[in-house]
Amino acid sequence: MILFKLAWRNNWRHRWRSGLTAAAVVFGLSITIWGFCFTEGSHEQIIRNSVESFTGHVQVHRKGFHDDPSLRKVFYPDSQFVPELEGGVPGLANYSFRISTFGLASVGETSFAAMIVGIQPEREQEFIHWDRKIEQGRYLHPGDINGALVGADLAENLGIGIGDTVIIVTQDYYGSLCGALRVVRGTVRSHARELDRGGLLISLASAREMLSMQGMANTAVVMATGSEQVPQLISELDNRLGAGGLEVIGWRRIMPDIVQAVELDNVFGILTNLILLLVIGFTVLNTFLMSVMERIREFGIMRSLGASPGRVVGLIVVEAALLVGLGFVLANIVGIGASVYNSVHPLDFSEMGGDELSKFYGMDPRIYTRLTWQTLVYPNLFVAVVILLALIYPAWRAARISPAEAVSRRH
Amino acid sequence: MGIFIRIAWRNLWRNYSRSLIMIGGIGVGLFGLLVYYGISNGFINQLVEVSIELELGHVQVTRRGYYQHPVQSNSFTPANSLMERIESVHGVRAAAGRLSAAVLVNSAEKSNRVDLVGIDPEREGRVTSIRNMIAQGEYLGPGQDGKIVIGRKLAEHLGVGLGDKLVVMTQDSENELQSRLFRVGGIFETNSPLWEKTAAFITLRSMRKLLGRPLQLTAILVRAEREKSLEPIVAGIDSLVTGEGSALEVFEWKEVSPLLAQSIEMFDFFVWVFYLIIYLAMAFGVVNIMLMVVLDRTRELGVMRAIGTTPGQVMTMVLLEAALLGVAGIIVGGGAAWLLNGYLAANGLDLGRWADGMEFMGLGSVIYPRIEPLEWLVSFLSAEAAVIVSSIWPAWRSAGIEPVRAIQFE
Repeated sequence: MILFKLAWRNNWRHRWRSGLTAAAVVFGLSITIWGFCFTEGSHEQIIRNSVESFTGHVQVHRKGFHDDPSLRKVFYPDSQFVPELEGGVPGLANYSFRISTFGLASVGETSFAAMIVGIQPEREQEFIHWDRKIEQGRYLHPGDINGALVGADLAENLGIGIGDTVIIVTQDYYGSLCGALRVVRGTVRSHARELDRGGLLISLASAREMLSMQGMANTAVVMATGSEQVPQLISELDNRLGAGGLEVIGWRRIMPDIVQAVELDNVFGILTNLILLLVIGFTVLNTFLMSVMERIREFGIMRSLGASPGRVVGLIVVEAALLVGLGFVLANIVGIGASVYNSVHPLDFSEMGGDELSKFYGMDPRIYTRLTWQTLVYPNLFVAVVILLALIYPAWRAARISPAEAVSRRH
Repeated sequence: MGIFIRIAWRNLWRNYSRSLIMIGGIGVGLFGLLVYYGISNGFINQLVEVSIELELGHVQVTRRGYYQHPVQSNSFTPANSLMERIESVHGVRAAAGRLSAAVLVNSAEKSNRVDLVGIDPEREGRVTSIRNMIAQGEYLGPGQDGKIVIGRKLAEHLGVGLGDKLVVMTQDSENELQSRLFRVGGIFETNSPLWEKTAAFITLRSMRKLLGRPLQLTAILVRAEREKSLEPIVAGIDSLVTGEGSALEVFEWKEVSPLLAQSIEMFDFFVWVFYLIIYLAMAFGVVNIMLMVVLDRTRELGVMRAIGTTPGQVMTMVLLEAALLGVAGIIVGGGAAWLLNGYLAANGLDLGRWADGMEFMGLGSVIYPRIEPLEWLVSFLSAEAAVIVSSIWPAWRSAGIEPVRAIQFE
């Protein structure tokens, strides 16, 4: 207890120095916490936009389709997929079937190559919520075999409007040229990059007819009840469907590019924050080294009165803990406060002219911060490590003080 | 003045561990800033280079509205000798016409959407660097109208090699579907995976035949002698084309690619924020140390004041000490950054582990950091300014010392 009293008083002896050191810790740590919450929020948004608005948590294909897609690699949902799921699968929320291929589409004088996706409008509405993603026009009505939806950026670039007729030309299941006319019912803004920039959605029935693929599909899109359930869902589906020649793939494998981009961004985020924290570390190191150096005589007297080197080091550590601890508490209050604020009031990059950029990355230009236990624990851990490193030398220096020499030394 | 520099210099070494810590703090901060800046700048330069070198040239001439609506029907027929007249504009090195369209390319097993570009091989060679990117086979020669040049990634995706057949499907000027057979004559490799996957080239003559647009172009790409001053060139070409009352417009690359312009803007913003944060973090350390310096020497400074040193001179001396520390920190941090940056600029920073992620951002996986001489200078000067500004308050306090009280201070 006396240790705490001593330590507290020592910190007060140099009010300015102690205050500045604590302030430096508050500055570095609160910025790091907010920064982590910001990156986490933007990453989560990119991934969620992609998963929830197009790819789903899990996809099922015929084995080999994922690595080397081809229209010939199909499966029959009614015999190969649906019966295997009987009795319910834990963690599975919903699923639907798709056929996707590439083709040439033309509207008026304009022709463009498009990713053509046949979807089950009613089923996908339940979990992709397409109607919320309609920018202009309307969603596909049930049984609308002649309708099509176009990605919003594609529509904008090519000047496609509601009610325009699209001529689709592509290769069918047997490899021969086929064509069809569809009418644009609406445009889609999903924030999934590939869809907004090049997608043409028609109904599955319509795609089957055009491509001579009655009863077939090449993709099953599966939604889990929550993102935590995904790994378990993958292995469960794999157990049931693997033997039938189907392959089950999670979102991490469906979009390795996004997963890696996020990882790389995290690496850079950590490195830049580390630089900040190292600079702060030097301030801390300076404060404690000075506080040891100017008290060599004092520590010498403590030692000659019978205090062990451990006790001297203990005093330094408690002093540091009191000072830095105060910094930690304040930093967490500020950092968490700012993050929570921005999780409700997002940063709007469209005001800074970042709308093309956010479109490119498939994001909403408004970025919400996201506070998780990781964005809280890691910054605190980093700062704690940096401060411990900064304490090693001053503590070692204090422990080495020999009483006789120190007491005889003139300050 | 000389004496104050000498005093400041000596004072620096009186408590050398404190000085070393401050130098360390400034050095680490500046080192981090510069390395970060170099790498981010390397990212941006790669984006800019790929865009200019392969896609946009420095300046483009298109029909009005082409970039809002980039379709083949938005093409134009250039006036006679327009190319030569553009090339005679001061500062222009070369110009080349292109006719582009989005097409579907089919191999025996697969098809893919491709931006097919018809080029005048000889002129294009002087404007963009596609010619130098050919890794296998050859660049298009005059009269090689049956050849197509594609990117490595597209070739892999379509499962084709040199000499293999590809069918190009598109609409022509009459809205009729056309398909024509080409043989792969060359495969190019670039630092832009996205581009390698989506671009392909045939001769301008066969593109015009395919689209049924015998004289048209969708764009004229212009290469400038110098990248920096493009405005006079834009103005020069503008006066050429508007003089004819035609429906053409002239842009520099920045206007054509808002994504690129925004990436640069965003990069500048983040760099600015990072500099600000690091300088503030440094300021805590500098204020802390300089306050200690002043406090330690209260008695001494009081004596100086008593024997006639003015408050301004005391303040100058303290600021000089901080300035010297700043210079030392800059030498240490700047020097280390110089070495690392130089090494990475020569050997490249290989981020191959994240190749797919880099591709998502439109980048190749090897980054070459770059810092211009002026940018080094600005970083050094701003760091020094940050150090001096941070020590104004401690210096101000030192000037306020009252001699009588200070001398009694223990």
